[in-house]
Amino acid sequence: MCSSCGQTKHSANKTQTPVVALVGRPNVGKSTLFSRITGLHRKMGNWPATTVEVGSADIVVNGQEFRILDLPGISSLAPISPDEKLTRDILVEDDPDLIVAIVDASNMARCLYLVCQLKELGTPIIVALTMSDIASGRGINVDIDALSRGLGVRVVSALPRSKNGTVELEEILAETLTQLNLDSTDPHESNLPLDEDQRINFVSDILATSVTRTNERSTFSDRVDHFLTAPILGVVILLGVLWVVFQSTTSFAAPFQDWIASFISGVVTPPIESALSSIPWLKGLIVDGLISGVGTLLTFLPVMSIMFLLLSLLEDSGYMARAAVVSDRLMRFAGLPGKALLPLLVGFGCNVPAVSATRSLSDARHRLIVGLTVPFTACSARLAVYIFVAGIFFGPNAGTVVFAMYLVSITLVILFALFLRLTFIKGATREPLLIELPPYRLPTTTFIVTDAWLRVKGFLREAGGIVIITVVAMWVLMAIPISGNNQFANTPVEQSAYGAIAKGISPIFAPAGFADWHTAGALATGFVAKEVVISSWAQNYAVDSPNRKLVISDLGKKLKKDFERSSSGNTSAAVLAFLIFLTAYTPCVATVAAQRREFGTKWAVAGVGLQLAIAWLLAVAVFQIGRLLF
Amino acid sequence: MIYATLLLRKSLFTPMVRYMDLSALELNTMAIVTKVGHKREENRLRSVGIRVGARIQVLDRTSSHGYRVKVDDTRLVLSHELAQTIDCIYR
Repeated sequence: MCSSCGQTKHSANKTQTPVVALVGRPNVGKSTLFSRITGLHRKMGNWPATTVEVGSADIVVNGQEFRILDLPGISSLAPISPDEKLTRDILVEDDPDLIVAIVDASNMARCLYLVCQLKELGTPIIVALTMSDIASGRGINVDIDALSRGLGVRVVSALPRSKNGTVELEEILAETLTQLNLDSTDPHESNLPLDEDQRINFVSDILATSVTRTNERSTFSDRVDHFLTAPILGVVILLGVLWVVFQSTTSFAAPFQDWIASFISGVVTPPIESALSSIPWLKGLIVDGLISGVGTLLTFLPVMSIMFLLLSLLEDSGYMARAAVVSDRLMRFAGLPGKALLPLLVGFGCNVPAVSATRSLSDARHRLIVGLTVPFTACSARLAVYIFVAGIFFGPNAGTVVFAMYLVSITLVILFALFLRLTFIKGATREPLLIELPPYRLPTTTFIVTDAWLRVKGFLREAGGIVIITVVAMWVLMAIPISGNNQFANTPVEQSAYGAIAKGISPIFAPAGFADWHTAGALATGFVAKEVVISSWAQNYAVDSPNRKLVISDLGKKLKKDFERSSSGNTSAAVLAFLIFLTAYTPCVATVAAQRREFGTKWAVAGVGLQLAIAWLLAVAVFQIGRLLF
Repeated sequence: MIYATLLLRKSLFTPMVRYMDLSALELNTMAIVTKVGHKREENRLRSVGIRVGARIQVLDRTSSHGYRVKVDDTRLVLSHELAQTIDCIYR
């Protein structure tokens, strides 16, 4: 039974588009190959009835149309994680028309073991041999013809990192599929399954006849790893790399943000305002609601895009595995494996895909702990607020304050994970450290750009609508008059429904030093999406100008005045308390939705409750202690 | 006397075979895995190629931080705990 459409097993001569599955171990270049073949035509989406993402694209080569799937990496057909289980299920139950098995020429033994298992399925296979350049650098030479004869399948060399490196593979795919369509006999041979020892012997025999080695020498990766995985130096280098990532993001994104804001307020808004000037409420809804919402979303894209680009670069270069090794001791303190670093690092870009990235962990309890901890990672939306607030209140020390918030975020992640492991989620197994180190390689621009674009697109799809709806809803609340003789869409914010709600909740923040309704209201809307915190402030203070710098300057003065008043002169302590609260409380509704999808409603709601409680307690502690020290 | 001389010659010219677990293996010495003793992690170890008969070499060792090893053509890092359960032999 097909797990995706419920039909019985597909035959090779079915009329729908043939399906080609890319299968391989992790880090063999599968996704890079997929990117090279499909370009920007690929899309990512959850496989039906699962929460695992699978890349797919429909392409045409030499007149042959087919669908190509980028399946999660798998070490063998005995899965140890949900991702691997899905790959196995698709191969066994959905029975694609053709399997392309990706084999890393620099690490053939492991890959050929998987190929051996894939052959036993009976589905036609083509082997794509990648990383030949790295293999020859290590003194490993592969005789492709001998390998093909030994395996009994066609073997093609593929270099996804070079421009035309996959042309031969694409042509052979098209040719093979055409041949399969024409051949009326059932192409599925039934091979007897082998046991493990027989497979190992089979692989050894093939390697002996098809692989020759020149002098084995220490590779570039080995020499570099001596430093990058060292106990102390490795940690220092990791912190340095992370600092460069965050610093680059803030530096490069700012000019783009300014340009986008100026374009929207200076070019897009004026003609619409004049066209709707006779209908004030509609003008308010379109300009202050919809356009403001879309504008808010767009100004955060530069930060997010650059962050994702840099994370993709680190991943594609092979450094992420080393980062996982170096951070293993710290993760282990919290009871997590080193591999938990990757979802947490993704969380620094956006929490939504980070929750999904927990699927790579094999233990269900580890997935739950990391998934509930991800909201404490300082995502790029929070970063934008840090930069804004730190710039207003701390001037030349703004960068240091922002970096300190990231250290707070990392500390919260470790401590919260430890707390969960000791209280609500006991029994998580302590997995001993075992991480494979892929060879270092030069990242390819195509892969990095398309990977970052897909992540940004995913964010826009999942969170974009929520952000726009939030801003529109906020406008509606601000338009409803509660006190005074005001009309709908013509009322001061303070006298609106929004103002009433914000004033109602602001006393909660009195012990934390920022019990001003403008800030409380901004935090309330920030609960739905952090991207709207700054625009909420601007709306609350009725600050508006085509010039973004003027907006920031004007808004900054008003914020300083109100923080000074609400903290009784202890402004720095109150601002730090505010930043801590911002770091710890719920990042956005989209993240909660992702948690609900992965772990269920009970855990998602419990997570929100814990985040709010911890955020409030920390903010109060920071303010009360800070006002004694500063 | 002749027998003793022959024995002495044999011990001098026959390479010594040494058995030990991975945690005691000298750096950059190629050995063969003879036993994988960690039952719970056996599948994971097999998935990265650590199985009986695999060629293994320790590249770096920090007992608190992990062992960087080369197994056939695969580079990986494993803990001291796992290293102690992998028996190997070398000449």
